[in-house]
Amino acid sequence: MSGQMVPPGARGETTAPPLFVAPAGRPVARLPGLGRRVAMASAVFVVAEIGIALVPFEALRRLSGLPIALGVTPFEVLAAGTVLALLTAARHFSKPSRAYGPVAITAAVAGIAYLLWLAAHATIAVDPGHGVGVTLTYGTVLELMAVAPALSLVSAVVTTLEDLRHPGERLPFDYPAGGV
Amino acid sequence: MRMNPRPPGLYRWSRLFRRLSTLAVVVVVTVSALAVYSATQVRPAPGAAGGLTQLLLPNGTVELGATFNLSNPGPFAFTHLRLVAVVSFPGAGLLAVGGTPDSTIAGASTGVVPLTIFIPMATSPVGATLLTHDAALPVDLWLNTTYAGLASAAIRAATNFTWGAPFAQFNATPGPPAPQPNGTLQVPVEITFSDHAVFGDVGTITVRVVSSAGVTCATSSLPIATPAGAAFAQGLSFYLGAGCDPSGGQLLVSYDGPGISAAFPPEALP
Repeated sequence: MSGQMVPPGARGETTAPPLFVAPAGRPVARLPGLGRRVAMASAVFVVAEIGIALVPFEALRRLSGLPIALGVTPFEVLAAGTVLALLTAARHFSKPSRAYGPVAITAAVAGIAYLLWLAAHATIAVDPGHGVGVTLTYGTVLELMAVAPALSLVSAVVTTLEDLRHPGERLPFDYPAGGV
Repeated sequence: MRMNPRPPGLYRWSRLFRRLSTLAVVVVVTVSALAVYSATQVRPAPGAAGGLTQLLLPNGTVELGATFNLSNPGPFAFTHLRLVAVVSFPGAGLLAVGGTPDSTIAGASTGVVPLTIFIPMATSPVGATLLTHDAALPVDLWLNTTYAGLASAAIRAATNFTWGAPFAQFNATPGPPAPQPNGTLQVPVEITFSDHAVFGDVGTITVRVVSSAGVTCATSSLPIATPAGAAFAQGLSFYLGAGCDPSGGQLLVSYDGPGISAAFPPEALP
């Protein structure tokens, strides 16, 4: 597993999933193997792709057949959602490595940018005819939603700092071995 | 069994922000879902006006009024609620603008939104026309509001307001002049109209017989107090001296009421 960190005092990692056994009093980590990481990242990608790309895409595609003007196109949402889903999966895959912090920062920044871009275009105009028209603007909801990736960004920055100062220190807490 | 010690400080900070991030998502999604559900419960409350009321003010302005009652049972408020109405006269453009002040309807309450439009009959270029002609006046309504501080809505609607003229089908009909034994010329005039407005006609109708040379031969004033919806018909007789030939002249009729002075279209004398 290239780039994977080894926690302080690690030894005896001969089988997958690797089990890092620390001296007495030191925490122990059981890092997932490459196959498990790929499987989990794939599962995360599928869930994220459905939640933030395919479902909004299908919803917008159906709405576009009605007399409703949307601020974004279904394909824009599909493309942006797929990029975010890939970043989410990459973040999950890289969690045992030093790349986790930078990847998480990238994912958080992309999430913030996406939500703010959506907020700027968060307008739905409905024109049912008969002289009636309704325009809804919901950008505030998306701006508030951007607080979540902003907090994730802070978390990712802190993790990056931690990985720089104490490589592997967090692994026993992210992947606790349980009883040894 | 081995227990992990307390995580390092940076890890705990990172974990805290991760959890706060998750909490933020949960809170925003929950509040948004609740706001959407509450918005679907908003209904016009009983007592909502079905149409505009009319009132003639002493300054010659017609006040159109309506009241909208809105039941807002959810916990979120409507803020910055404004209603603007623009009344047009077909072919003449803007006739009047009205609206409501910036208002708020708190959560779990019923709000009353009064709409008032003033039509300056005395100063409007089409005021005289509105005195005598019923009309379907196009009304454009705009409603802007913010709900729960999260989403704003702008609603526009177009409708027609049926204007009932206070002097509908006004006619001042001169009859054929009839020479009198005393040498004067009698000119009969029949004044007729119907009050299609929702307010009565009170004031004075003044009729002048003007010769073709522009000289006023005779004048008569007619006090009126016609109830709303009633018809009016009254005859007048003018006796013109020998020096005033009405032939080719005009019958000039004007109305003076509370705040309104208007001239009706002149009528040619036979």
